[in-house]
Amino acid sequence: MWISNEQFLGDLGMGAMHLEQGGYTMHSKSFAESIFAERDIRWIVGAHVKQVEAGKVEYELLDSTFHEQSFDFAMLIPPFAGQEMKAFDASGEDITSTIFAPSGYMKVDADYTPKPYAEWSADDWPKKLQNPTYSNMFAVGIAFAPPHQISQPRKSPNDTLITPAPPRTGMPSATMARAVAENIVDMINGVSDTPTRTASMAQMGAACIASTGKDFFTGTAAAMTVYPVVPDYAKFPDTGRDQSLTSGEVGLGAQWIKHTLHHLFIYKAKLKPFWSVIPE
Amino acid sequence: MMQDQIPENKRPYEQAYFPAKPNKFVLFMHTFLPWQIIRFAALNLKIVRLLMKGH
Repeated sequence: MWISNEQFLGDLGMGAMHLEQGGYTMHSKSFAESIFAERDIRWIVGAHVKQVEAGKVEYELLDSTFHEQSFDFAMLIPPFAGQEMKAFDASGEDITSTIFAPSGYMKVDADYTPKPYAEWSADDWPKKLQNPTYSNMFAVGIAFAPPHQISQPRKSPNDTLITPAPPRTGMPSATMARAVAENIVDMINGVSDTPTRTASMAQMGAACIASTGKDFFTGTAAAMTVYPVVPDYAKFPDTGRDQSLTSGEVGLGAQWIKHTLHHLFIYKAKLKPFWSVIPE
Repeated sequence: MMQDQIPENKRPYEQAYFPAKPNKFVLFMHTFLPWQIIRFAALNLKIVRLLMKGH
């Protein structure tokens, strides 16, 4: 049983994606439901887990009904959450609200103006990941405050927000980190006073490989690529994404990529020769 | 076949009744080595294109 705060299976926290399959442009809901149905996995979506006890999880659905699910073994992934940190300047004045958003993430050069889902834009997303007040502070990955979710936010009549947070770990996180690190180096060395490289999630792609069986000859994985992570309907009016770079497929080849990435990233983490040429 | 002989989730109008499911040929191709070598190369190429566009 799969329980998720996604509005539908395949939302993936990024408002879903479209992929080419058998001559059709297919929605990721169909792709994900097919994988789950094939493996006989059931799903409960639009659910907010309220409480976990031994052998039992309680959750609320978007219609504010409450349900229970029993289990023998459960794995829960907590939602992304900022840390409750306080910030003070040299004179001891509390500058927490200048540095952190109410969610606890660091404010960067995003457009935080509250606006309805229909008015969200790719331009809302930060490009330099730099705090607007303190130019020597940067935040990447799950440390920066996103301007809003990517998926359409939903609330139950009880006012419980049931929506996935934007995914910003893995490849996007590392891409941002590299750009910011290189900008900081330039700023320290006097090459530039301001960041020159950008890493907006609305201008970068991501690849995700989800293993569905690890055997080297009989295993499979679901490989998904998406560009850009944050849909840009101004550039790509149909689906918000470049369909030549947005795809999903299941197969052994994807599992080999999983193996390859596993060894490459460990090699890179150990800083072995030429580690820096291995991409994120 | 009586419906009670079908797994509950796969009965008409139940959750797993609606999604597309792969047929035997598609499942075979998922692990068919010559085809998967091609897919491995194609996926790598696509990821390289992603990297070039996003970095």
